[in-house]
Amino acid sequence: MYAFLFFLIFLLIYTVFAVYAERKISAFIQDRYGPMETGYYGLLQTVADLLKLIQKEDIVPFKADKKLFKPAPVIIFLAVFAGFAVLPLTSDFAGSSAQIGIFYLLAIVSLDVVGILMAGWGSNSKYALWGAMRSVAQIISYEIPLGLMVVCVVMISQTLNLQEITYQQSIWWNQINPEAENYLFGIKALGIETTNVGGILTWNILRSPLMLIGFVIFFISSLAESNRAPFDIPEAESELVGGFHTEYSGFRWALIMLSEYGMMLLVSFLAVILFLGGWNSFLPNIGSVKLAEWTSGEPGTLAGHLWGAFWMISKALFLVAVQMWVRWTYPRLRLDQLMNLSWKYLTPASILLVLLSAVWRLLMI
Amino acid sequence: MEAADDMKGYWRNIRTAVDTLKTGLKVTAKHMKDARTQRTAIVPEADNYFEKQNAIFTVQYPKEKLPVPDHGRYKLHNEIDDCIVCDKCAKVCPVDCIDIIPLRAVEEIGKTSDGTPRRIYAEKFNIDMAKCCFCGLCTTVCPTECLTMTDEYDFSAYDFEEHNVPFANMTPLEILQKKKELEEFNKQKEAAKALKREEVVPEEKAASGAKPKVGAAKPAFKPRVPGAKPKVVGKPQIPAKKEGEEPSGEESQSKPKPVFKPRVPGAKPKVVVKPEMSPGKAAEEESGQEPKSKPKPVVRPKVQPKKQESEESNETSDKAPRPVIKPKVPGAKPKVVVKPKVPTKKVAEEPKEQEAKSKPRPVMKPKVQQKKDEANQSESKTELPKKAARPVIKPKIKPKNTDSDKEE
Repeated sequence: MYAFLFFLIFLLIYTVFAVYAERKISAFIQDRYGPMETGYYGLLQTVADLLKLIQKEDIVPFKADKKLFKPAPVIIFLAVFAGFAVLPLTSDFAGSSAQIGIFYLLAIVSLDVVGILMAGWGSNSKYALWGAMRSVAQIISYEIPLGLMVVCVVMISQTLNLQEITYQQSIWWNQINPEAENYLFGIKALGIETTNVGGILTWNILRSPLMLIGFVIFFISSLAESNRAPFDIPEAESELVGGFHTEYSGFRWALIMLSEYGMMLLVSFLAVILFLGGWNSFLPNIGSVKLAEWTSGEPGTLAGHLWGAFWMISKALFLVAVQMWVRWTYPRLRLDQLMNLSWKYLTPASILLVLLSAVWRLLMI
Repeated sequence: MEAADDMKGYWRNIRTAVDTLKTGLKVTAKHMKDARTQRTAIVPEADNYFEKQNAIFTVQYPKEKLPVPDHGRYKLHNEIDDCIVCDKCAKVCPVDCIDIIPLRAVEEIGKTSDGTPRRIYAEKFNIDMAKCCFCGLCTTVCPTECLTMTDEYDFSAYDFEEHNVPFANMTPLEILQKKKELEEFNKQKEAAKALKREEVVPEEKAASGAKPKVGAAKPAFKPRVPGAKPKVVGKPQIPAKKEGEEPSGEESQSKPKPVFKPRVPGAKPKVVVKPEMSPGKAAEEESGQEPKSKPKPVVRPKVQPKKQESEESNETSDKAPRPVIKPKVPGAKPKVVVKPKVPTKKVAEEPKEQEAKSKPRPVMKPKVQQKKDEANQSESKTELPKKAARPVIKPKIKPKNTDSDKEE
């Protein structure tokens, strides 16, 4: 319950400032200022935009399939928001510590496609329909490398529980599994135990260095998953007007935008949990200098919650910022290029990584 | 082999993609880093104007402004205290955005800051900035430099009428007063004229009434604005035309014309062209031609500029339309012209030197008298010498005819 309220409020506030950040980052990249007039340095610009959006008329096209058109944004948002249910924000704070957390997450994120297809089909507009078709094709294509990367992590971690995956990357792993041991780069033969060193050394990207590549593939796929540039052909403002949400206005449109930014945050959280240590500090314990312990609290304590939330959210927001940076750097991929990238490059690489991860897992035990 | 090549291409693609993606991120990261500072506002004259500056380019306009020249092509300003209401700006304006109603004063009402005497009130001096095309012609033609373009370019308004900027500072009461004064003055003058007519001394009438004012003003204009002279040259042309046609009725008609002429913007630029040509040529020709006949000097200056023009017009068919326009210009001048009447008369009787001075001034009213006089005198005496010049004059006359036809 607390997690629900927290994530809902956090998502709303985050979206407001993510839109602001997006505009600022794009402005700085293009040698502009971005919004400057509303509030100090334009901080309240998105709030003003939101107020305007809420007051706007809810236009439903006369020929639209209203049974599909009206609930579509809600379904999109629900699909995205439901994903937050299994995210372990801290060591002891999560909506649900389901054993199949990551499996549930992948399923619920795919549900997003249904809402998008409903919006595009129900709009009875060629642009919306094209946008929806592209979106579905894209999300289904990129689901494969994304899913295979998750499989890699699951093979390394031997669990589907997100909280447990995070614990494995922590100096507190022994609290839930006294016999567990972490070794540098996951190679037991090296004999360098890092269970109590923690920090970045026990993150999944270093527990199994293959995951460095895996993280890149996951990040690229997650961009496509959230319809972000350079994979934003479902929206493609310059050719499809607005893609699947062309016909939406007012609050429904705001919901779709909220979902897009929510999706960005969700995949960033997921990337952080799977590869970047979740709620763990990146500072390792070095001998008697217990940097990792100083920058993270014992699970269950207040310090543990605060440090955990801090690391988790700042890492996720950093990834969101990188997504924006990427968006304003690269041009949009053509549909065939998009499919090329997914099927000819990312998918084979993912399959290869799955095999290698299986081998790596053998080194770890 | 092909398969191997394909595989090479495959790996090369990956490598290219990674390299170019990295380069792209570096570029945008650098811009983000540079966005901490703003580019400095530099004027085009600066040495480093073309140097690349990586920083925020935006100028937050109302708060920050780029430097502009003090006198650019922006909003017009008239310093009404320095304005002699010569109407030149209104005439030269290609879009007729300057609306002036002059009100003659009965005496000199002061001096401008450069010492030019002011003799005309501006009852109305409106510049419609909504019509203005910001060409700046009016500022270059202004003899006292009271009309300038300021550095103010942001003068949008909610009401269209606000763009019609009034510069005249007379109150309605003042205007009424001055009008009354002028009326009384004119009445007195009429009365004096009537008296003089009885004495049958037409020349003196013109001299006593109009000459002093105009004559005093002219010296001031000529030295200052060389451009003003061309106009003067043009004015003499009119009498010449009239001589050729001698429509007495047109003269009276030509007086009202001044009002019409200012409206024709096309006429002014032409005037500008003439001055360039005529001064030099006129000077050369005058030296050679002057000796021929006394009356001619008066006529010739007028004719010479025309000749040049006529020659040009002969050369290019396009130029033909100009003569039509020119007549308009002389018409505009009539205001000034009142004075010239006297000199022409004098010329016939007196030495050439005075004529040269008085040329610009040819006044309307006297013209009729002069023309009659001249017609009487010149037709008998001067026509022969003129005939040599006629070939040149004839082309001129034709356009005039067309003008007069059109006007009539």
